[in-house]
Amino acid sequence: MRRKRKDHDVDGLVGEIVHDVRHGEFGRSLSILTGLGAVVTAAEIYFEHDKASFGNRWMWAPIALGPLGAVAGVAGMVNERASHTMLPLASAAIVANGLQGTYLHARGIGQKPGGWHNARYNLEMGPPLFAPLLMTMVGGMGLLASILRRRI
Amino acid sequence: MRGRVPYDSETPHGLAPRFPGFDALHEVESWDPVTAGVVLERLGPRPPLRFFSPTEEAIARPLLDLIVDQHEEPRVPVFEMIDQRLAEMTTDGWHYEDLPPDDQAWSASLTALDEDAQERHGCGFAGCSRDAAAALLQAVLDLGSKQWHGMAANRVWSLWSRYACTAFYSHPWAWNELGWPGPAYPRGYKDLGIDRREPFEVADSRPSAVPVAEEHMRSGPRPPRSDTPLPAAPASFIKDGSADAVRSRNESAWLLPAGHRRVNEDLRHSMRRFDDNDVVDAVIVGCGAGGATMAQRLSRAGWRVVALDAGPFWDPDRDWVSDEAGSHHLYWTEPRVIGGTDPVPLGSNNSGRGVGGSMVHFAGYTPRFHPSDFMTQTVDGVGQDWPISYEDLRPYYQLIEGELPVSGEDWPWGDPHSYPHSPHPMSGNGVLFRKGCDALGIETRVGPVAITNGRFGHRQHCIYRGFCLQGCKVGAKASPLITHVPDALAHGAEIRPDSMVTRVEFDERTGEATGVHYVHHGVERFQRAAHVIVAGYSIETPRLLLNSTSRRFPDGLCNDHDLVGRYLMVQGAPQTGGRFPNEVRMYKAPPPEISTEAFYETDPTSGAKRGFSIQDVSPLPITWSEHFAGQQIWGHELRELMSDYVHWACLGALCEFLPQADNRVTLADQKDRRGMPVAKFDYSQCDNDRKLMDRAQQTMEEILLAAGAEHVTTFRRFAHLVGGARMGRDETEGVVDADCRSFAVPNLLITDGSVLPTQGSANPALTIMSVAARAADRLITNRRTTG
Repeated sequence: MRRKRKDHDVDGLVGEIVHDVRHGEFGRSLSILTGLGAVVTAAEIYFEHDKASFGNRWMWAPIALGPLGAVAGVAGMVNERASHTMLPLASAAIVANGLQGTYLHARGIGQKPGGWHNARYNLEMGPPLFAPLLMTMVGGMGLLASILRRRI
Repeated sequence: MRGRVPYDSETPHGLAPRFPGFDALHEVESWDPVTAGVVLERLGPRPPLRFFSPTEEAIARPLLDLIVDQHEEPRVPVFEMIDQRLAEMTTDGWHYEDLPPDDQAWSASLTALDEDAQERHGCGFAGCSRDAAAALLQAVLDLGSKQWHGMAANRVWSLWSRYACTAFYSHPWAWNELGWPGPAYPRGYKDLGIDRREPFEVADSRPSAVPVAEEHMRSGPRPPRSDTPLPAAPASFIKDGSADAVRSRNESAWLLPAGHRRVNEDLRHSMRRFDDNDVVDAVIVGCGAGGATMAQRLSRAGWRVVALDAGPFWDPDRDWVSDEAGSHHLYWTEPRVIGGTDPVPLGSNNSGRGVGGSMVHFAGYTPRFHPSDFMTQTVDGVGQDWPISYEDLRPYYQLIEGELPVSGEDWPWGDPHSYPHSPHPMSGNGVLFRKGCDALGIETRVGPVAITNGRFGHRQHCIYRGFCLQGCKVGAKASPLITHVPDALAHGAEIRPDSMVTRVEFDERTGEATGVHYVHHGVERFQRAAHVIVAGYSIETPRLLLNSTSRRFPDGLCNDHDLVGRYLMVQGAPQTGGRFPNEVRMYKAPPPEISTEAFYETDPTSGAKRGFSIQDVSPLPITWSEHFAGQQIWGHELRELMSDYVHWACLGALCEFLPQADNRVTLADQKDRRGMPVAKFDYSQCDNDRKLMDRAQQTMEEILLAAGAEHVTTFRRFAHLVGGARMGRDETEGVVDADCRSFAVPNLLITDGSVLPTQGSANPALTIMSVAARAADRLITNRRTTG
């Protein structure tokens, strides 16, 4: 593993980021990371929900939140004001949608033949129970980014 | 493993177990109670013999022991199970023209076998040594289609082997020998694919191929073929999964209960009921694909509708089981006679009974017909042009595909189109089909199947349990019982089950039909109606018309031009199995998964007109054993081959057979229990039919060999029925017009498979529903405009 270095050991952008993280001022980095996470998550959810034919209109919600999270993430990185308005709002929506998804997935598992008595099968073949919580994590990152210290 | 099984669990004598420790009964707690009841009864004490006489018993026991090769205990009680079945007459109803009904055929054939033994060995069959008895049995088989004691020998073998295989492979002990877990509901399968096993499945301990006789199998690679490039299918990226558009025109899926019940009891309970003397707007005869679609459309338009069905109003929870042998009550089991040079056995894949019709137990494939199917005479100089074109039907295809709903990849053949639901995952069987096709340059697509893939109203998602052909207890696979009947009930239609229509009443004075005579719980009744809509499918519809004679129609209703009952078609449906070194376990996942229509149109180099499609099919053990038995494999070889079940993949073809006037339904001399003459169905193939069947067989064998099969075997059979009261441009060409209205009686319509002039190489269900939906539209509009 890398031995401990001083800040000026690394130059340029990477150096700045490393410095910010070390000093707890990484609001901007986490903001863009949230945007990126929102896009990747939405893409994966698109394929998963397409596999299940978008049988419920709510299945489009996490996909619509992807671009929204991306815009908020970029805005939160370049603009401090946005990082206290748009970013937490979008992130809260992502968190809420993730929790709602967990509920809907749990309901879906319960409604499969055999329901929760057949959990061994239905947890693997039904809607993935914990997947929406991963999306909630992305929203959580955004909320964290909006209250973190930041330079500029 | 759950252990503590309260039932004796064994593998039958005769074969060393291949799946050590596997016990189908270990999973008994995951079976639904109705199925468990049916299966466990087979392990319980047998009722005393009721059918066979002691003399017959002495012949039948050693004969059955030979066929399934069990000469010592523990033994599956095959003889006792057959005795019970014949005593209760739970047969499939049909019999060959030259063979009496099954019970009498059993008695006659056993006596004949005993006579052979007397003649050759001077003692009864019971007194023969095992080798001598086996030689006598083989001598019958060697006769092939020749006569034996006044019966065709191969049909006697078909009778013996069908009953023996059904009994033997319906028993959990036999399942242990195959490594097959049996019933799969409510727990389905989650580990689909090559060499993938559920936690309770056991690996085959002797995976090397079972040696087989040359004459039954073919092996060796084939040269690759090239295929013409396909037109691009429209790609769909955005799906409206909410199906709000469907809900606004057909709310059936939302009227089903959301919980673990499959029937909306309130809806059935509060169903509107008409009196026989009410002149309803329409009485519909038959509540399957054509009839139920009609009932839903008309009742939505405000018509007062009664739909009669000869069978029950199914409750999937109570009436259906996750079991092959226990599902014969889903077929039409009333007596019928089959004849012609290529008689078509009836039952599983060409008949239905009860509300939902044969779609209750159809595999689920719902392809569209190709545009060329509507003009085969113009395009290929064979068959008959329809009075409508593909474009007339296209909007109705789209509507019905939304209502079922159909799942599949974007479709490149015929008129390219896409489907509302995404394709299902593939099992080992589907993967091998695609692998073989890829190697040969043949395009394949997953689907199209009428099985929900995701949320659709309150319907369930498929659980990949493999029992599509036994009625979908899950509610994932479409049948009118769940796709159209609930909406019809909600709009005031009455479904009157257990009502067998025997005659359509015709008023000589007005020249119109006035209603139908029917038998309900043994009582003859008459329902009056302004319109009579017949939808009894290709055998019962002609039978009903032919039986409805009057002064005006002495040869049967609408039969002025001797067209009723004629031009009946089946599809040639050979199935090819391929043996693979790996475990395929084709019983997991729905039998319908993936198909190719690359051979659908006429291949000018082949010398035959029209074509065939290939789909993957996954026969369960009893059907699979009949494949081998149909090739005269029996005894130890049968048991050995069957124990190899988990290593086989299977494809099925649908070959377009041409319409011929002499392939027809007539009334037989034989009467049913109500005194109504039974239908006689004659079928003979033409040269083109045989050529297509050969090509399909060769292609399927090439595909499986290209996928790596060690050897392949093909079993020839038939599937589906259409025609018998076809539509035409005028009354000399068809019984009904393009709107399914009969030429002879203006208020009589026929809206089932019998109106189709040709059948393509597509499974007919979707087209039957679409034709009915179009006829309903035309009827409603017509009435509105004429007041």
